[in-house]
Amino acid sequence: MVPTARTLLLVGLIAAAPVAAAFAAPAAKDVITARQARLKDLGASFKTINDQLRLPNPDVAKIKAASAVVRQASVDLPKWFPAGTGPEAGVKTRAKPEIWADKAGFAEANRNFAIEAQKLQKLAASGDTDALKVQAKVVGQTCGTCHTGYRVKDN
Amino acid sequence: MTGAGPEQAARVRVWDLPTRLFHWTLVLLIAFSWWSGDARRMDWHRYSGYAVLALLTFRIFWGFAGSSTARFTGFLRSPAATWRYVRGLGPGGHGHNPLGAWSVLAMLLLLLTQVGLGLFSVDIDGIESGPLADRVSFDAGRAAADLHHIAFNGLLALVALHLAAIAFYATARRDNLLGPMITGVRRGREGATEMRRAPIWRVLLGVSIAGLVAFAIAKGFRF
Repeated sequence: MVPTARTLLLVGLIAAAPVAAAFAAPAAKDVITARQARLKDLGASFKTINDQLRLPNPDVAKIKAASAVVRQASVDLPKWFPAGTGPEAGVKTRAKPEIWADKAGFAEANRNFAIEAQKLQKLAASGDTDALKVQAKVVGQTCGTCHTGYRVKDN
Repeated sequence: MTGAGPEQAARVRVWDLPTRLFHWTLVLLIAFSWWSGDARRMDWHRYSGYAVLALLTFRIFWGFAGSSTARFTGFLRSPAATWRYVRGLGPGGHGHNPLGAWSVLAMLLLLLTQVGLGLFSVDIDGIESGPLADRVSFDAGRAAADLHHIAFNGLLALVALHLAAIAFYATARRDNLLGPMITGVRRGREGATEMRRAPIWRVLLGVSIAGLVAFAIAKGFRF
């Protein structure tokens, strides 16, 4: 029996599916690697802010630059977690499945981070180091709130 | 070596009070540092670390200026002498035996390393860090933090070894080492010389030095 065109098309698609999946898997890996790099920059920038605030004469320019990185990260963060880039991707990640199972909660935590990061950036522009010290702690707490629910705890 | 005869029954002083206080306070602080670090109570963890730093500073000073059994020259011995002791050929004095001496040295060095690494450590979020962490990069601070965790496992291994050794001496050698570290006295050993105490003013000097060093480092050398 000669297969119909439709049958051939169907078989072709089924055969191509695993090949397509193989191409999709590297994409998840790239997304994860890229977001880990951005998150590392975020951590390093936050250290810069806290380091400067410790000094008797903080370098406000450095705080401004670092708080801009923090603010940008808070804005971009939701884009770093497309479907399929959780632990199921098979790549080492501390992203918890809750990020996708509890989209509303994750978005809320991110929103709070973004709001407080914006306040931090505005204060950096003003150069008020006392207020910056307070706000840096507030931002740190928004980091912690999100991490508690959505990042795997270490050790 | 363990001197069980009636002529050795007389009790002699072996550990002075500063040494004993150092030892037991260190036990408490290591436990508290462990808990506070795990529980992410970083303010407490830092205070605990500064206290350990002060204790270690005092102990090093006491190792040069303290009572005879606390001094490094009093118990550190060459590898050859240590081997003679292990084979049963060396004398058993008061205080640390040559084998225990090496473990004391290892613990002190590892504790210094652990505290030192903590001073430069930063967490992954750049939120919590040691008092000297602002002197180094994020990458360096993260490396210090990773090593700080690894070194702690080494410390736990040494502590386990220490406890096993105390248990070994208690059972196989019938030599109670725990009591003397609490009371400061033990059953005298034949041929061993009596502990010579250091004067009080040296205790005060050691405490002052320890306090100043810990304070200066806690402030990141910024006053």
